[in-house]
Amino acid sequence: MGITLQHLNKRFGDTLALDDVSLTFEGAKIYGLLGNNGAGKTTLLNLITNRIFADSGEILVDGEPAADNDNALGKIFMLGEKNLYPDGMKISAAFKAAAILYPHFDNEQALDLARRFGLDPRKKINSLSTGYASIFKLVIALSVHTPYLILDEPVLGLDAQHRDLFYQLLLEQYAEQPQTIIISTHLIAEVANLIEHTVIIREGRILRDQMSEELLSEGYTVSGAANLVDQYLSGRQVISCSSLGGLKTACLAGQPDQAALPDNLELGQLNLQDYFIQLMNKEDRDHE
Amino acid sequence: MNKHHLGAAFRYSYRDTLKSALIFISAMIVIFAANIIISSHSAGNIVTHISYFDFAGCVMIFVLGICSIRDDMRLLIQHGVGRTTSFITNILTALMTALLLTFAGEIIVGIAQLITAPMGNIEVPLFYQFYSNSSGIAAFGDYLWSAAMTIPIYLAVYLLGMAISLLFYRLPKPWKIGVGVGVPVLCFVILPIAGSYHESLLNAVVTPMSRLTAFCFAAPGNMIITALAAALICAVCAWLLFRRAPIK
Repeated sequence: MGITLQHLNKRFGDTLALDDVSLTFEGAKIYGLLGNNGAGKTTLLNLITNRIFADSGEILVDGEPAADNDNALGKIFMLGEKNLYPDGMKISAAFKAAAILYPHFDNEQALDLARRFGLDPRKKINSLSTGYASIFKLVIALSVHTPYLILDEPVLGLDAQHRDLFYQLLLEQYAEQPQTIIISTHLIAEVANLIEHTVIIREGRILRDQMSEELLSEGYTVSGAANLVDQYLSGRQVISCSSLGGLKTACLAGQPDQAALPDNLELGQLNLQDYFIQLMNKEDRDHE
Repeated sequence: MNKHHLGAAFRYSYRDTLKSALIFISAMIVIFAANIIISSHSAGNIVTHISYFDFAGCVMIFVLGICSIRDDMRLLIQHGVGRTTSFITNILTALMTALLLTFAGEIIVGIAQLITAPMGNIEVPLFYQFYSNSSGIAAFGDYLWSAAMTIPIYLAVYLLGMAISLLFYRLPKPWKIGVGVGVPVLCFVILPIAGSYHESLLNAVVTPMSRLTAFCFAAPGNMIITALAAALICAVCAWLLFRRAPIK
């Protein structure tokens, strides 16, 4: 069970958007698809949902080829940045359309979520602000109940309160009815606690495809007085450093050497955002 | 293609198009009613021989064809419907709309004829207008022939709109401008000018068109065959343009 990508290649003119991408999104797991702008995240997600087509390679959904396959595509709902709804369509009409096309769409839930987010279903979709357009799509995504849910920049333009509400609702729903959720976002710190498995993509190639815990165990943080931290860092592989007043926090690669750690320094777990930034910096350096 | 998905996609698509068709029919009823009222006040002075329902229907269904990619196909793909199912859904919707508009049109024209004929005003169906030599009121058989002709014509016009819309959807911007300007310039400027120097060039375009027109107007069956062939050509073009179109 899952979405399997086999040797996907996609080129836009001279740009190689995806380069021999092979990947599996397993059932009932929350994935984070991370990458810089232009890394190929949206291209990958658009390929899965048949919005565009690969130059070569195959996509399987629960073992079935996804290309032009209603059974496979009907199991996926993708919330993309692009609005594919007709001009002038009302939110309530979009709910009705989703109810016709997705057998498990819960109209009552959609209306309830719309109320909780302060979204008026009588409004036209193209009259919504960026934030409310995201809310509208989130409401549909949360009510559609497909085995695979793809969220491409789901909280674009959303205020902090609504972002928090969305993450809370997503987790509640996942706990009640596990499904595969793929979240592609630049707000890594916000989703870090949600995602179980991280896929990092850069220039169309998969750099990392690991359980988040496993990924973050590749390094650790040390914080404390700047002079003590500096002493500890010597001879160790430093990923990054940040200072605030007399305090310093450093991210290091490898496993912590507890014996060599002074009492006044604190050990911590690497966070996903720092890991991502440092990985990208490393890749930049390697390319130079 | 999956029957369940086709059924659901058709239900959505047809429900949406049905609204537009019913609004159109309502507007046409108002126009016909106005015509009847005018006729009743000027008995014998105004004679209508134009089947304007069919022409207006063609314009309406052409616009629906043009809107199909933006209104229906993108939404169906957003909701996990495959390309083949989306395309077949659109063809079925076009066919159902063509049937609805045709039968509504024939009934409205028929009723209008019954009311206005005693006043000296004659509303005529398409078949009667194209193929009948009589100037009296149209018979029931004329309405059936008219319906048999109108359905494939509507279908062809819808698919033409869809194919044109898809062509412009897929073309890059400079090509859109190039085709948008180039085709009218070619047809209405370059060809007539070139034709004035080389008559054979103009004839090469005009003669087949004239022959096709003559063939269509020779018998209603010919018109039906031509419309079906045009619908098939447009459907093939539309499918080739749609099946790999990036959804933007």
